[in-house]
Amino acid sequence: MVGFGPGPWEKVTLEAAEILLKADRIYFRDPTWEVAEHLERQGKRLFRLNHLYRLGLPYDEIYGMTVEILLKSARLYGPVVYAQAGNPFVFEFSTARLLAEAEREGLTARVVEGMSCLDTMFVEHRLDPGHGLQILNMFQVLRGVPWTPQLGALIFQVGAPIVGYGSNFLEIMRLEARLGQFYPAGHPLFLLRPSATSTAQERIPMRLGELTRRAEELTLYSTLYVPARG
Amino acid sequence: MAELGRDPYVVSRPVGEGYVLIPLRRCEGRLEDNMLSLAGVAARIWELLAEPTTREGLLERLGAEYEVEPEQLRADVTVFLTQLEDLQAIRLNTLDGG
Repeated sequence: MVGFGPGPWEKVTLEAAEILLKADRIYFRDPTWEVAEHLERQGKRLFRLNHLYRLGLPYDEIYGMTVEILLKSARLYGPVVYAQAGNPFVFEFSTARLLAEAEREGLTARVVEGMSCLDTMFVEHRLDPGHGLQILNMFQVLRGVPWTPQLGALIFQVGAPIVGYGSNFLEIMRLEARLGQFYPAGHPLFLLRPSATSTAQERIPMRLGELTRRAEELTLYSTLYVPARG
Repeated sequence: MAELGRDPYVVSRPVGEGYVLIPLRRCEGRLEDNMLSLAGVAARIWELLAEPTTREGLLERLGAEYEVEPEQLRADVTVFLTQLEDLQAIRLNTLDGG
């Protein structure tokens, strides 16, 4: 499992680049990343797993299929590289599962870290987690995990209900209601999402109370930054 | 007699009322050329192949479940099994004595 960072080839670590350029079989969940295009231009053969996401199965099933495909392919064809955006252990739920299954089956597996989306966000938005930061995904927030409004929060994959579950705006409403338990109406929010035109992230100001109305601006890779309550 | 069973290098999952199959031996495991959807009787046959069986055993089970002429059933199942074999989705193991 090789993390290739935020997307551009120049952000790939030297270690990861060497592995990717030497690999015979590289699997990509999403082949639209710039790294994938770079590798194809270098003549590398890529195997695309994005087709699994068209089956309409729950994400947990898709992760299970991904793990099974990778392990069986390794047995059949030899070493495989699963190229993952960012860091394989940051918001990538298949990694731990893949490691556990590989160990169970007596296969050797290794994780090579990459620059995670968190690293990019810390720099671009001048957030230092040393001051305290809550890092959650959308579904954890909806499940009602403990929340501390005195600390800033990053809510990842905030657009998942819109993109992954067929425009489920109800989940966005629930998120907004949940945040409303801790913050006053109008509390500033920032939608952080990959830019379509550059490697930098877009930072879109919003306010609590607007999120549901502007839900269509959320993408699968959108993160919501909620500043600490003053 | 040959025993039929799923190839161990097939990844399959129920999807709706059918199955999706990915026979990894085929097309070097390339998903875009390799994902098959099975529905209806085809899905049922795949379900039955989860346990090793024989062609006759398969026909007997299907004959009890579906109203179809035995010869038609045999012909259709033979075609389907041949397709699965070509896709390297199933294995045939010759049993002793047959």
